[in-house]
Amino acid sequence: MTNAATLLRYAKLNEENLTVPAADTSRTRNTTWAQDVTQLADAQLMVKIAEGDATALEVFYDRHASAVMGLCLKMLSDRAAAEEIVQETFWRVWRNADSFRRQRGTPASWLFGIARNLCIDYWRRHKIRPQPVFDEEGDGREIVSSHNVDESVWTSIKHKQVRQAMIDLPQAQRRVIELAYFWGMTRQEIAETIDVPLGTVHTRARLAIQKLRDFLAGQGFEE
Amino acid sequence: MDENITDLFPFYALGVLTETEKEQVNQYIKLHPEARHQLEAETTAVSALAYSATPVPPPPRLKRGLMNRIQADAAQRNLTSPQSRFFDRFRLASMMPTLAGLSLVIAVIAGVWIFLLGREVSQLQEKIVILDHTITASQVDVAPLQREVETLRQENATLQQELSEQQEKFVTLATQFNSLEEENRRLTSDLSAQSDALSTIRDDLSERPAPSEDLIEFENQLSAQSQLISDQDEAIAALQEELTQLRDTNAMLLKEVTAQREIMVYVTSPNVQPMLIAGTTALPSARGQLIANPNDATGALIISGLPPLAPGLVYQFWLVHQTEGYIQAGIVDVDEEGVGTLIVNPNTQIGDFDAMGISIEAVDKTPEPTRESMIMLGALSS
Repeated sequence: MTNAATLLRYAKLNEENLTVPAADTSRTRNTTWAQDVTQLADAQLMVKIAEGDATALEVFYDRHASAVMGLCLKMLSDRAAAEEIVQETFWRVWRNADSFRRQRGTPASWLFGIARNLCIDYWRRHKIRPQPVFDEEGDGREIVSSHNVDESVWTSIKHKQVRQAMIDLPQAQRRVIELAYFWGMTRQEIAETIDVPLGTVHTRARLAIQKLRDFLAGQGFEE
Repeated sequence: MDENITDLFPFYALGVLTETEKEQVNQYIKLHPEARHQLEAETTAVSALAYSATPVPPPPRLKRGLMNRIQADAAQRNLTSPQSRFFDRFRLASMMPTLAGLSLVIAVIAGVWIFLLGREVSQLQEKIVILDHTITASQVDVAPLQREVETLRQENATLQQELSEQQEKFVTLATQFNSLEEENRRLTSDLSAQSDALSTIRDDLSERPAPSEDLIEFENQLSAQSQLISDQDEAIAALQEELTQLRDTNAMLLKEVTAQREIMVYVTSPNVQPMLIAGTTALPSARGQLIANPNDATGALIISGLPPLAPGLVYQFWLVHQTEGYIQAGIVDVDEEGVGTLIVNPNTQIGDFDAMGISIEAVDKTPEPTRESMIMLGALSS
């Protein structure tokens, strides 16, 4: 993990006030770094978005729009539809930020959940579902936002970690996870698609997620 | 742990369970709180999967569109946001002097208005008093009107009742009318059907072929037989008339035979004598006898040579008494041969009379016999 990433881990703001690391004693305790909205963590951005701060939403958009777009493109295979879903996703974040609860996970996972559900609804409305395309290795492209270079790097790190975790999964297990997550297939549909018994699907899914958890934990992955 | 339910945990985290299956997991978590940690951990791992997709930057226009939409919504929100209300209060505080002055003006205006309203109320109250007096005075005149109104109400009630009864009658009549109308329609329909049937029959008859020769011959025979029967009827009638005549003739002959038998009885009786009667110069060819016992009151007269008489004339037989004159003793019926008989029964002895005679008399006149009117005369012996 890079030094930038380590610093970012210590600098993440949440509901509790941070203390500055001991190496920098010029700052007093309980000093927050919230003077620049671009420096705010996702959780505080959500608070500001709930208050109607459009700038906060813009920062949130700059951080996660590419990931949401990538997710939507992978699920829909339709750029125009993916753009529509991306805009609708952030609009819903704007409208419903006050209903976000930390119990649901991180703001990013909440965001991706909204996008994913909108993609599934899109399939249902148009009575289509693209054929699964398995991206085995990915192109490794990194996205850099002009607002917050460190955060963009951090995001890029997350992408790499997760992608690597997926690559390390046995193909059979990875397929089950991808069919469920990216194509919204049920257990039965997965069993029919890959022509295995339902019990096998259960086993592969359980093992895949277990390995994913363990791998990401070992990589220090944090949302 | 229930292996079956925990098999659903990964798919719960992946968001691909049915509602029923999700509810099963939720219920399981409630009963097994220790399983919640596992589910949350799997959910966290699944949430990272989004990062496995290659990020793709959206086009700048997408952000512009989104932000325009958000700015507009933010502006709308700011109209009622707590922050804007804070600034409103700030502005309001700076306007207090002006507001105070305005309030004073409004208070003055309100006071004047209240004064004017009070005066108007007083005027209205005076009017009310005047009206009360007027009403009280008019109430005196109201009683007769009220009585009249009551009378009219009663009449109205009576008229309503009559109207109601009339309406009921009308309904009844309307029902009867409808029934009759229905029956009329039915009869008209029946008549029309019968007319159609009759027309059909008429057409059928007109289309029938000419009667055959056999039929004509039969009709001729029938006609001839009818004529024959008619002739026979006439013959029968003639025969019946002839029979009637024969019966009459038979009765007449029977009567003559009876008369002749009676005469024969006299002629063959003992102690009878023939007493001659002869025609006078008026009828010299006439001859006859009275056969009787002079001591009896009955005798038989037999005459011949008397010509038939014209209708309305009869041969009158007389018994002549010297002192009592002519006594009618019967009419002599004469046949076409001029022979006539008569049973004489004068109710006294024949011998008491002196003579007998026959004259021609009219039936509708009272005879006045004289010696000269006798066409036959004869003496009677005692």
